[in-house]
Amino acid sequence: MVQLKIVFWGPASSGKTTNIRALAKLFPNNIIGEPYEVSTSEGRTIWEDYLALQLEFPPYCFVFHLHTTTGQKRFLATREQVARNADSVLFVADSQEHKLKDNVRSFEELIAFTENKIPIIVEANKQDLSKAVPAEKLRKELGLPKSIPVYPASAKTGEGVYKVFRGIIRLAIKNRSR
Amino acid sequence: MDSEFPTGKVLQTQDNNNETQHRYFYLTNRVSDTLDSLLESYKRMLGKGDIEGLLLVDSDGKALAKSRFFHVKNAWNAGALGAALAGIARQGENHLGADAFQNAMIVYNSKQFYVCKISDLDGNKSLLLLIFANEKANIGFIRAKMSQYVKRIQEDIKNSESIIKTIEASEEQIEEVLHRLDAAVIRETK
Repeated sequence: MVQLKIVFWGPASSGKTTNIRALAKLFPNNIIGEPYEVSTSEGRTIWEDYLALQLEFPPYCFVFHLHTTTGQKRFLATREQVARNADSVLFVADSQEHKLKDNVRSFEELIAFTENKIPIIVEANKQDLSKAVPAEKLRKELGLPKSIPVYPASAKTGEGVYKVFRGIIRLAIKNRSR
Repeated sequence: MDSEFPTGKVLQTQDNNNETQHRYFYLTNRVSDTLDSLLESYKRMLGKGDIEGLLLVDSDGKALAKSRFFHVKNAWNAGALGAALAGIARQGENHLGADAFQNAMIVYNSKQFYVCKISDLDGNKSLLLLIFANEKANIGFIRAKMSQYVKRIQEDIKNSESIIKTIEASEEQIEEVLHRLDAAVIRETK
């Protein structure tokens, strides 16, 4: 059994918790242990949300420990602790136009924290919204190289969530096998 | 510049070289008097100064007040950690079949960090007292004394518009205020 840690990072209210919930709905029979959310009275993550999924790709059995981090600036102290030793990071970006600055700030924080030692993929979340910025424009705003994939998705509707998850677990497995 | 919230007042003064200095009265308000009184009681009874300081936060991690001479590096960071610790401990209510959370503690080599639930607030929140102490501190004493001060703290909060505003503030409002608060406070206290 191989255990891997995947961290969801992103600005406040970008959809990290919604992603975890969508994955719990997608894989209800693969959940192990008790998922939990440590959040404020407004439902904002104050420490982390956690979900563990067991998936078999014979001959291997994988357990993916999914952790979301906080998004607000005032919770920076907590998210660095949660994100330690991740095998891969999914950056959940908010595709709304007025959130571009928040995305950039959060992404810069992630890069500073990971020091390019942990592989990252990006999800352009909230693509269901009418004025959502396309994934490729988000790539330009974040200054991403072509080597970092950007997946359009909507955690709220579930669209694209499976594809993103497949991408992030592949990255985690590849990183661990180095 | 007065802050709307009890995140602190910023007072501008001129020093001897006519340069502007900023003095920060950070998170000190009427509740601070009560917290100081609690600390004084500890020192008087036990004759020791093992408690470094007290910080009052809500369970959403919003810093509300601190004891006056507590030079916490960043009260909002400390508040977030305290609230997170209480939040993790509260998972026990769901997963361990435990009754309501009361307190949690982290013991370091030379320090103790204690989170104590004082009372419940409206809107599914609670008031938390964070105690920062060295390894010799008698936390049990403070806990026992706390019961005598809870009503005073609750009264102080009821009579403080700015504290109530902070408790009721949304995340967006808090982010905005923290942003507006002189950035040097945050930089300086990191």
